[in-house]
Amino acid sequence: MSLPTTDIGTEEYKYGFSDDVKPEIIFDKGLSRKTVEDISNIKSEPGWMTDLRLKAYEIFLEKPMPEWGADLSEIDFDDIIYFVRASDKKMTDWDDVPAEIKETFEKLGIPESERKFLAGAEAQYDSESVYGALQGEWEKQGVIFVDTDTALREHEKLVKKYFGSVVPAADNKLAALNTAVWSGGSFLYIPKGVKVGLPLQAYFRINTQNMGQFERTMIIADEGSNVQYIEGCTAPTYTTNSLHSAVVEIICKKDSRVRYTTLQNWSGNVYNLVTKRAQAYENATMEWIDANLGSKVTMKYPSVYLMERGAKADVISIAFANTGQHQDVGSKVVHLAPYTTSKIISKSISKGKGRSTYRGLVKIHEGMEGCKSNVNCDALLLDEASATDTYPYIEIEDPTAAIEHEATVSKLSDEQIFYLQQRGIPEDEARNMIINGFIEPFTKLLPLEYAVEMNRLIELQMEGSVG
Amino acid sequence: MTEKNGLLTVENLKVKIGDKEILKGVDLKIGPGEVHAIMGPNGTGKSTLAYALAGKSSYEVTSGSVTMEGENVLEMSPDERARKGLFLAFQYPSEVPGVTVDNFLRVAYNTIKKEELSIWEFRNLLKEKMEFLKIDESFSGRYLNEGFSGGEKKRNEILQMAVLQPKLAVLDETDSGLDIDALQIVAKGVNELLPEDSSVLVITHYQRILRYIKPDFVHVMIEGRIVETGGGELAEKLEEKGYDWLKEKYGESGKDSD
Amino acid sequence: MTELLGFGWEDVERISSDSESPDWIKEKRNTAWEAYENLPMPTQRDEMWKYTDLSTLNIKNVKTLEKSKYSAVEKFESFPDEAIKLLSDEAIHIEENGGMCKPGLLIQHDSQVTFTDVDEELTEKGVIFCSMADAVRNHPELVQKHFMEKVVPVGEGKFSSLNAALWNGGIFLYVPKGIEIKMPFKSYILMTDGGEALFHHSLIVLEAGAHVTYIEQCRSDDYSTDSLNSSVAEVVVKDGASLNYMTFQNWGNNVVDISTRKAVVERDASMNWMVGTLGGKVTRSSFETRLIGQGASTNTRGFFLASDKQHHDFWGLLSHEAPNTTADLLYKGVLKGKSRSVFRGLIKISEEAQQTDSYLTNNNILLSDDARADSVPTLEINANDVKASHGATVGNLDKDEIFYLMSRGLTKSAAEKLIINGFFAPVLKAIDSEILREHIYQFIDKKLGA
Repeated sequence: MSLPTTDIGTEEYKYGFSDDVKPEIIFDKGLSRKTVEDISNIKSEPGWMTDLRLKAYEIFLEKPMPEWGADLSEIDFDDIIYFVRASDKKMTDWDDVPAEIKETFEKLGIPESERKFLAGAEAQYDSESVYGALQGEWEKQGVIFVDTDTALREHEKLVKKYFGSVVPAADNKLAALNTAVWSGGSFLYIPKGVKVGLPLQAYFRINTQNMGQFERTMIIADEGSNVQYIEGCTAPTYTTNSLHSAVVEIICKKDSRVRYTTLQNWSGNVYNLVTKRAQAYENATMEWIDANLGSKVTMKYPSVYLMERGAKADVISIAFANTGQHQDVGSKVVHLAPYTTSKIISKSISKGKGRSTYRGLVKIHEGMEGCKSNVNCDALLLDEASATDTYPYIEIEDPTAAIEHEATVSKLSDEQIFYLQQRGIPEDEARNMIINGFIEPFTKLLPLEYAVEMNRLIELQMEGSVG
Repeated sequence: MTEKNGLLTVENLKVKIGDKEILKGVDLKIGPGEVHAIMGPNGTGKSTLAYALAGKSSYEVTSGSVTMEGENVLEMSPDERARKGLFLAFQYPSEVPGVTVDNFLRVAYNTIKKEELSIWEFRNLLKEKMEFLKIDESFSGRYLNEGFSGGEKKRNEILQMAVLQPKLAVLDETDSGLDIDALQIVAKGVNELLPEDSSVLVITHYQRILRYIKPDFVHVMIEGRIVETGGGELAEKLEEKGYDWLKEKYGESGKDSD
Repeated sequence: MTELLGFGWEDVERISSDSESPDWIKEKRNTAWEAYENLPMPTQRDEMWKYTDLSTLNIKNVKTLEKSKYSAVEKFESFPDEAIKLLSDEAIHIEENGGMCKPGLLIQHDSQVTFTDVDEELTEKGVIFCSMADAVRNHPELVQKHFMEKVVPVGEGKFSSLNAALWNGGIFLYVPKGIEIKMPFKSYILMTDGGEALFHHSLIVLEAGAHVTYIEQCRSDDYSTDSLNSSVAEVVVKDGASLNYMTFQNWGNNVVDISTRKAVVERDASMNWMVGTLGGKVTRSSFETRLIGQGASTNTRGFFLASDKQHHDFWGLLSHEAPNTTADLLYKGVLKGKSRSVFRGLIKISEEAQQTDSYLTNNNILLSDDARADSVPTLEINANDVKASHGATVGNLDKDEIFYLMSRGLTKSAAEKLIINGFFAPVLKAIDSEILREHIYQFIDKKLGA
């Protein structure tokens, strides 16, 4: 793969612009029982969902904020807008999307990429989806790819069966909040044996200031199916904080394979607190591919519960923490069945005063024989003020387990830079080359277009690092 | 003072690492197409000269001058020197995980040659040189120096030299750790893959490599100075007699003049 | 939850009145007791105690034994046979050396130091090796500035504060500038009864350029009632000095051991720990090394072999607080029966600690279905010019290796023992004393055989 040379000039955060879209509905700031009921009413939801939301709201009130991890003390739940409807109709033809919103997404390159190489796309703007399309071929084979609100209306039985089955509201305070006020997100169902050849993409955009985005994504991969889902996220740069708190639930049934890729590039004022979890059944494979470049604070630990024999978890993530950012990320794999395997690769880069943290758990329960787990964390520190932490928890209750954990911390080496420079490559390019090489195990898993974008974003982050 | 017909001119070069002066006034002139060798015991500053020529930042030049084709090399950054045609084959090349040999070398090639060879064009160019150096095809897709054996690293350095076609190739202990077969391949690469008018500076402790890369000039460095200069016969004399007689002859004076 | 421990103010008062300790020590006990009372008892909700449940322990009624049933003796051979039953290896060693205990030996039965012997030549050079109680009386100028001040300050932890309030026993080792001693100083801490509580507190100060080894061994028989051991050791290693501190715990099966050992290492000095956890019921041992001077280094080696329902919880901190400091920690354990181990390690590198290398490794082998090993090797890095890495493995014995050895005629158990010995070898090879190493291998052999 080539290393793109781009003329990124003086750009900083490229997606930091905002639009003047007049929302159809915008709630006042703050959260109450009524907020929760209003959201449910606006969406004309079935009673069970309203009840579920209200129960979750109670749990939210009871649960304490997490005391470990990043500093969340600045979050004020009363200073957040919990629901914004940008457009009252969801479009299936790109031309019908309101002009300002369309322009935003076009600036982000969404329809372009869809035409090129996607099997389907969803675009969420603030609280709800404004656009969705799925190629006819997959629709015919019974694939469902809609936003979760639509899914609740059109596939209520499926939603009811799985909603909260992987991440219950009581899991943690933010999961409870999401369950109470969720809106939007993707719902993806792949029928038995269907292998979707091209990736499906969802795009999440926060536009309104002080907005809280609480999408709920569910993927059900039926037996023997195969799917690749990619999500991207951006937001305008505001001086006040926004909150993104999603819940993602994935069920990988027997022999299925799901690859879930996230390119998180929120602006520097977004708290990104996300609960992502998958259950993998017999011989199924769940892959989380997780890039965290943006946000002020991210706390996200994509998890896999290996439920049945032969299930497999692969998690590979990169984090880039620049000044003002704390990327507190990692992964959790729980081996609940024998002969299950997991592999976690984490790469982090800290620049300026940025801090990146790996936090992970590998747990092998008693009697689960023949499990294997391999964890590898590498941190690269670019500047004197950069910082990194590694907190891996390894809990092993079975003697037949084979567990390996390794972590290294190093700085961008002067020797490497000098070596590349001696071959004629200028210093800044040499740095980028080394960093792109460092995250190569990650980028090689991305579709080419994303890999190029990824390297470009990293280069953007690296701007001005050569003094 | 520059000479039009010289390629590299080093005059009274003094270099410090930290507080310690390693090079204590080195003079060296290399003309186009010439092969020079610098020999000497370990720790006398041979590699320091190589790094200083290439512009390593921790090597502080305290006095003297280095010019290439009349231009002041000391004012150039390491990559500018490389683009000027100075190539250093490292004794210990750095590992750069995630960056493949072909990708790295293409970027270097395009930068130095100011060309825009596509991956395919470049791979053809690379393939030819690799065959010559008996390097396996899979090599170009491996990460730069990562997990390479000692011999592979050295061959990789020579491959890079062959691709980048420098005006001056400085080989820093390229012979160390090579078996006789590998040494012959490396030497053949140096002899046959460089343009006629390219110059070579071989830095070595042993005479062995000089059997295959015939030097026009042999210099002996003791304690940061070039103390003897001669032809190929000097190398043979050193092989026979070792360095002790030179150390005795020049070692003390080296210390005195500090 | 009922109280874990039954100590009260009267215990502090009793100890203060019993001993001939100076006023500043009495005051220290008072402050420490206050700190102990104010600090909450750790629970599993505390991150540092996540894997160790204290609430199930039955140590409410343990009592300190200020006077041991054995009285102090002048000569080692004057001990009654019963009193040296636990010291058979040392007795042989002393006999072999013609009754000499050079450079120094100290024996503590229960809370009472019963034997002290130090090489007089060293005493003349200013080396001090004595009981802590003697030290606070006779060398206040050396003790006071370190004792529960900067190394383990009063109030730092619940258990170290309790130790500071009730301490009785422990050693003081002081080595003046530039003195190098090859042979190890030794101490034995012995419990002679069940239901006991032991609080010993040690302080080691090495002046610049001093080099010594100190071996501390804790032992007891098996008793039917639970006992408590609390050790606190404070170590100061000044510029260019080096200390090898070896501690082997081989308590009987009902001893709960909660101990803190901490070293402050100054410029170019080195601190090497060797930790062997063999006995006891529940052991919680904490080893912290602060590298506060440029060029300071530490090497920690640890091993354990846990069986039955033993619970070993280890905490190791490598704190780099100055540039060019290096640290290496290797901790290896084998678990059988229903035993449980916890390894928690932290490499902490502060902003100023550039050019630092630090390594942390934990390897565990599980031999039984019911054993459990938890490992949390962590890094907190605030400087960029560092090399730090940690690794942890949990696995079982390699079946191919066993098969290979068996194909050469070894029985299965002999093959397993051989592999386990090989597993421990990188740690045990750091023990200089052949007698001691042999003693440990025998112990491992016996424990594996059961």
